[in-house]
Amino acid sequence: MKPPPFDYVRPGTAAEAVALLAADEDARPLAGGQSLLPMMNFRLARPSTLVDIGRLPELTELHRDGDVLVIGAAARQRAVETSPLVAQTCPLLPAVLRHVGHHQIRARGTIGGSLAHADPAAELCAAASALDAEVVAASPTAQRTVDTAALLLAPYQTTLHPDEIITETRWPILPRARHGFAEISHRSGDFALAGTAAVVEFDGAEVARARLAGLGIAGTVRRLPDAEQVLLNRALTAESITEAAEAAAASVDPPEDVHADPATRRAALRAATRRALEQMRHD
Amino acid sequence: MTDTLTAVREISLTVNGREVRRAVPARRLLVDFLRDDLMLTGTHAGCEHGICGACTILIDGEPARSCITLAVQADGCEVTTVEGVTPDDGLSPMQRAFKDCHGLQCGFCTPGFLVTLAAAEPDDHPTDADIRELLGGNLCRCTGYQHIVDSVRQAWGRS
Amino acid sequence: MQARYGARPTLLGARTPRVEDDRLLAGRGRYIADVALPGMVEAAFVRSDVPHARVRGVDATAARESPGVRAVFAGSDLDLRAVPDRMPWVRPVQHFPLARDRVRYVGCPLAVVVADDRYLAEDAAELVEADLELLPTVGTAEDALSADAPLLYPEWGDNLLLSVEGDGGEVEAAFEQLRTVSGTFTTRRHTAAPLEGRGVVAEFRDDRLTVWTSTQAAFVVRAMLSAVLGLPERDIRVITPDVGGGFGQKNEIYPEEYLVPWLAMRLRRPVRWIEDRHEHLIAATHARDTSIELSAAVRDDGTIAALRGRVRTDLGSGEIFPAGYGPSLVAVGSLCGPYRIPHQAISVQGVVTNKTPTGGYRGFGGPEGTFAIERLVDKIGRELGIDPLDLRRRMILAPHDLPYETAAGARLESGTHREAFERAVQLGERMLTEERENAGPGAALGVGYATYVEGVASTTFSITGTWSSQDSADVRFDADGGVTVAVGISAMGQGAHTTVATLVAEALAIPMEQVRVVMGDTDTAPFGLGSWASRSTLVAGGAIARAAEVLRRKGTDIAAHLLEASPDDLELVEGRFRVRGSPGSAVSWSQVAQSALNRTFELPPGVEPGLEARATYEPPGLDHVPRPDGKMNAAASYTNATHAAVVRVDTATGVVEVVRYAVVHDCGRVINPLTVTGQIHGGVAQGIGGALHEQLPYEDGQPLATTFTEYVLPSAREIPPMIVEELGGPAPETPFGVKGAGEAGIIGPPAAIAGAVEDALAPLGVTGIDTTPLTPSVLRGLIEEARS
Repeated sequence: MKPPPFDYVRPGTAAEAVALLAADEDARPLAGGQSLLPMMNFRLARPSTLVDIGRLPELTELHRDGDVLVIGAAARQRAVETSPLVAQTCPLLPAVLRHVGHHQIRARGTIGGSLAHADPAAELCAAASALDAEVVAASPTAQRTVDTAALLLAPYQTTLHPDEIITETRWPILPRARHGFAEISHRSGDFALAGTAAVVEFDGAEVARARLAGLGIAGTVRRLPDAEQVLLNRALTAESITEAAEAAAASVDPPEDVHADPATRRAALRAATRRALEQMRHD
Repeated sequence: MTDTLTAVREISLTVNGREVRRAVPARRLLVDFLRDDLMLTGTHAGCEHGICGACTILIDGEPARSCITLAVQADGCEVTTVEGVTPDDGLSPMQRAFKDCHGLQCGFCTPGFLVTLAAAEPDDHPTDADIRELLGGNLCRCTGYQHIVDSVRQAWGRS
Repeated sequence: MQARYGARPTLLGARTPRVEDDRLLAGRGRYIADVALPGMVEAAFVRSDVPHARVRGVDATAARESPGVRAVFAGSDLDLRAVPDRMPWVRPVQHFPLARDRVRYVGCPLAVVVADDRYLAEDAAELVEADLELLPTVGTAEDALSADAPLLYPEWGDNLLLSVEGDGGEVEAAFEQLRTVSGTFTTRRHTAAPLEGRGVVAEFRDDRLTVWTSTQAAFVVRAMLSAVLGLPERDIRVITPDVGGGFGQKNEIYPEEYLVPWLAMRLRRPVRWIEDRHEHLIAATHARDTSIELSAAVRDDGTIAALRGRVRTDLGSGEIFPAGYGPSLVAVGSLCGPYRIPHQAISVQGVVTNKTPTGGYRGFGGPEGTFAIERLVDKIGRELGIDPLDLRRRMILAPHDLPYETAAGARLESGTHREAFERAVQLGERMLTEERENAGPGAALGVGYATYVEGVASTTFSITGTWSSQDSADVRFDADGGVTVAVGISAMGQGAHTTVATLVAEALAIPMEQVRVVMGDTDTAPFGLGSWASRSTLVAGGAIARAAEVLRRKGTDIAAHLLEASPDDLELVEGRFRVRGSPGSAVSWSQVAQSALNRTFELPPGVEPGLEARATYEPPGLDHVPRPDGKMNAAASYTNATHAAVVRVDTATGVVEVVRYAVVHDCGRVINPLTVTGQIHGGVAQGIGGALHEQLPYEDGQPLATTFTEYVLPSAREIPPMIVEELGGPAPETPFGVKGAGEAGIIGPPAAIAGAVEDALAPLGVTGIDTTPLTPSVLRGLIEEARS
């Protein structure tokens, strides 16, 4: 299990990085490498060149920009998980990051890398989806902003072009929202059977806005609009939570694989949705 | 080394406090660089896809998997291995606790556990459940973990 | 009259830290991947990616031209003999280290590439083209036995490697008269997965072959290498480096272990092959995959008059030595447990399929058999309305029943079957109560038990056709009074060095620090069979006791001569022979050794120079083949235990968590409580893995769990705190009174956890859990079935 041959460059700027990627369609950006390198060790990924963007200073910044928390694409997950600024402005993120791999993985893994890897069970993708986060993608010729739903295309596929990299991720700061996250795993630390990230804004006692994202239940992380709908314009009660969990489960058609059958993933989503929403009742 | 298929890069890094400067193939995994090039064979490759934790080392003080890190990525970094957390004259308190509490059997996974623990702050892991959580990224097939938890408790002065 | 053990504190039973640990903790262990020789090149294997095919040809042209490549070989290039068929009583499986004409499982070695390093070898391996003519796949044991099944070995006429009919007139009579309760109990395929995979390094130099291999049985490897390579055994040296976990899987002899030495001979260079994890999960032996159909003829009080049934094991392709049916035979022996069951008649089928060969894994049939009988006893209790614990009380052996011969022929001389059971039930009920108090209402908690008898230090004749059960020790004094002991057992993490040092120090009344232990090197160790079947302490102990006896006798004679006393008046205390009643008059072992080795003119008349002894120990009373009545006492001794598991089931998702675990165990005298407890903890953890998490499913002959992402080993978070209690005192029938502890932990979890889950789900009406692992999908299915 050794990676096939490749070239390696560590550009000094993001502009240089995308120029290198544009010049070679088989080149791939390398951030933390925690998903890409295992695939290369299995020889399932064979880039011609790795363009290492993992230490570009411009990609590792973390700051507040008005009502948006800006996290550089190459910021390490562990750094974000433990950042006081993040805890204060976007508490869903540390709650979710605790479930990403193991802390040894999070020490190297990056925020942008996880989103760009587009694993259907990625906790970070669920958080981005539930928060309506955006990514800024840069190519040699353009820079564009892509929302999470538009970014995630299929298992391990995004709508990023080969010469594009994520440079920053933008997380709305929602001071009055409550959040919840739960996932059901066969073994903790693994990719979950299913999980739910939830962000709910209240108007008085009633739910004004609900955004729920499910992981592990489809080709990509996806929103759960039926469950969101159930929650709207009423208080968050045991009853509404049960209905939302049912709606979430009923709305998905998970694939079968070695870890679980579809019915079990659906049941796991029901349980995760319930637990994620229960967390808000006790806030 | 006749690995001509892949580009070679010059790297310099600090390993267990010593400056190291080497030319390495770009694809060389950090675990292989440590073991085969620097002869630091205390770091073990157990799965080579980032699950088992036997290859855990510290990069700039943070535990990381050396089997899914390239040697070139460690350029300019400070790397610590189990050899680096072992005193010249004997064992560290954590190592002694592993010995006293029988926290190891075959010993293959043990360096990974010791390195993970070397970077841990006891106060961040107040309960046994927290210790198990901390060790969740290091697999052991021999001990059933209980004596490892006992070892950590002893080293951290818990009864 | 011999010098007696002196009145000093015994080393036996002390929590002695291990002598192995300092270097392992410092990262100075030397595992197979740490063996590096000048000029060494590395091998990578090309393996079949289809389950069943005829090999039409292998084209290595491109691979040979790949950078850094030294050689590429396919099956037809080898001038090796077939792996010998040593078992005339089963179907012949002729196989070679590289497939010649047929591949029968995904992972089967087809070709090998040798290059300057592993990276380059893997580059070239990708360029090897195998021309394979696909054959229909035999996916399961059931499929393999259907009338129109494709055949893996057409010359057999069916897919049965082994078929043994159980018979017994008493059994039939019991079934005619009594009520029958039946079930089929399945333990799916999983594997040992030591953290260190396999690996081999070989060097051929001065017409002698040296092989470092991560094995549990160096001498067996040497004999098999001799047979396949055609070298005399004396010209082969097999060295076992530190082994990063064996668990029985490294007691098999693998294709790579023949081939890497052959490469070293052929290329005249040291060659290294280190298995990677993907290879490990498809090419190192799998285990279990056994289905047991079991019926009991039940009396009105629920007790069992006879058992009848069939153990069917999916052996995969069967291309492994020792063959994979050994666990099926042990499962037969374990079915009657510690219960007074007078008769049994069990057939065995070893079926070949297009999967990785199965082989040994800690427990070796014990977990499968225990799962079957314990589940069946629960079912009898349910059907007859008898509390299953009371039912066990009616059948379990009491002290006055011993010695007892089980229905399978095992002779139980000693044990604490009933006491261990009652104590474990006490612990289990207490743990459940405590967990209920912590958990609050609504939590689905349950407790389950497993009780069993385990044969230790067995014969290996029935699965090797060659070796039996002896082992040896060579104890040698130096002139300074220090001792070097070499033994034929092997170390793979269980603390064998510490155990041997302890026993030698005890037997010679010297400090452990004066004992150096050598094992795992066929040039320096006396002939022995290695470490498996929880045998090491018992058989090495037997050999050490005998060698020490010789040395003590000789030491006494020499000391008596030096002291001008009668040997009868001497006692050996703390390393000194002293005149009883006159402690000032004494000589030490080092003075004795000086006389024996240096100042030989001081020796008494008739005493030869030298102070060393070699002894072997063959456990008495074993049957190496079945007796005429089909029964067999296959083990030197029998341990017993009862396990208690407390689980919490998430009824919404089917996720099971083992929250508490207790083992009450009897392995005779405990040499070192630290290491015995460690063995049990580790076995329980592996057992929990197999009962809940680990499986190796196949689809159309393709393995679906080929990485640690799919093959899920439990972490510290999945394994609960455990209570381990040892009940036994010295066993009367064994040296030092020891039995064995290596496998005790892994036998109970499947039965105990299944029972606990059923208990937790009783309010929902879930019954009849008969298959492990209990994954969320399986359990959720059972819950839904019960609800509807």
